[in-house]
Amino acid sequence: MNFKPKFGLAWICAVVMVGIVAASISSTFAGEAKFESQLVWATNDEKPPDANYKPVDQETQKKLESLGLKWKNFCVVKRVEFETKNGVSGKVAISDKSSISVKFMEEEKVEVVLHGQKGEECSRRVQQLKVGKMLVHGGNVPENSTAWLVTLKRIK
Amino acid sequence: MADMDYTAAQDAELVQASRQGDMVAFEQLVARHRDKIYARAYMMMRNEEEAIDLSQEAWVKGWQRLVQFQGESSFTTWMTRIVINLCLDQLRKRKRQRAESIEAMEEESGGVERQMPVVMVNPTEQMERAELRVRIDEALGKLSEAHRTVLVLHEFEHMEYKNIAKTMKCSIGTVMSRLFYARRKMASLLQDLKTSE
Amino acid sequence: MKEDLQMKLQAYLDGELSAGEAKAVLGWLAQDAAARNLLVELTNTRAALLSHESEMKVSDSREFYWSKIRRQIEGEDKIVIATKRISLMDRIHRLLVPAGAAAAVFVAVMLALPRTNGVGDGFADAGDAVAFTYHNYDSGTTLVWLDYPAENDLSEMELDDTLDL
Repeated sequence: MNFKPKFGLAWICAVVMVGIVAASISSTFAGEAKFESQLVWATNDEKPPDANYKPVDQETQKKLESLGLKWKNFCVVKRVEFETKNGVSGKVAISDKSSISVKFMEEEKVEVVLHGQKGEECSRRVQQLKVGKMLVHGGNVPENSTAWLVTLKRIK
Repeated sequence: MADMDYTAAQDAELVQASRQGDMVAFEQLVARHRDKIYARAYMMMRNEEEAIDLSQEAWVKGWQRLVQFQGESSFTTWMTRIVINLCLDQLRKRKRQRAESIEAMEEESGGVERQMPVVMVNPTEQMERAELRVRIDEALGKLSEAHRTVLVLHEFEHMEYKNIAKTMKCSIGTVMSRLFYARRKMASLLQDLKTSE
Repeated sequence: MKEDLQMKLQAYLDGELSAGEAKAVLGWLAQDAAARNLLVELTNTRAALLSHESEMKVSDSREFYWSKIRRQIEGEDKIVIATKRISLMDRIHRLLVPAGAAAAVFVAVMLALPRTNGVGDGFADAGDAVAFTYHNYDSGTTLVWLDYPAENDLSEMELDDTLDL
């Protein structure tokens, strides 16, 4: 009779520990991830500068609005989807002159490198990016008071 | 990082340490090259206070952008580009604030320089180096901002016409005209300085 | 002398002509004394300028000059420092969770978790050229605002080490 509570506590501890280890393994060795990246033009103009540029989808619009950006309209210049395996860096072009490299790492972290016109590194960042979360790089275009944005959303 | 002999370290080592956040290393770089960066700012702006401010701003920018420095040019060349671009930006702001544009002024004077008689004697050949430096400095100060800028970019930064055009946001033809007028004006100013002794 | 010829002469001096064009200018120079004189003047002026290196020196002391730079850098780095603190928390978290052998540690980690998530969703490195970083927790979106291209319209675009110059 005296053993029962002790055994019960040990059992609970074991289950908790297995759970912890399993959770940690699953987060550490996540196989691959899928991302969506968009080159977005932020502007206050009602019409996009190019008829081929479509407004961003509603979810992206909401996310961009949540960042307090001053522009009203966001047009997609280019959209790409890609997958990367754990620990392998995938590089995709987001315009003729720029590209983004994404390396999916342990604990759902991503290393994101933004490359500029000559392939130079404009930004390197490591942060956790869970499914559905979005990382947005941006900068002003001084000539016409618009801005460029590069979104990166993890979709798987 | 703790073992680094900052005063003996090469620029590349200091840059590397700075990129890792070592501010002592960066301060060493500033101490080494601040005169050159300031001198370039002064050459562009002709104002000591502005030159100091812009050179300091350039160092701050340099720190922020160390990640972009790939070592394809020397660190000082890279820093010089930063300070020059800041100066150009400042000159543009100033230009926007003025009623008349630099272009308007220069086209006025440009025609005059083009018609000037050629200075046959080398006005600088008899001058001591220190004297020549002062004279050129004075003459540079008498050029318009646009003329001086193109001259600095071409003669001191060794930039090609197309890159100057890109930097100054004008055509290659405009760069060539400005450079030509600037040189002729310099020739005339140096001659005047010599003959007025 | 016509303006286009003057420009050609100058381009010749600056090495901006093709071999064919340069040869044509040489032929022209051989026949035109005025062109030769102008070339001499341009060459002299160029040589004078090339020998010129301003010896302007900063009049402020090393410490005073640096102090302003340091203040600005430290001001700019505040965001980075904040994110680095989170990074440390994140690393501790990373070490503790797989270890997970003791219930006390587990509890501590569990207590730390919401705090970590609440602060920043796990930033790590922010050593890039950010102007600022902002995170909206509700929408799960991070904004990294860069000075690229620079707002002072060409300061970064024209960096020799990165772009065309």
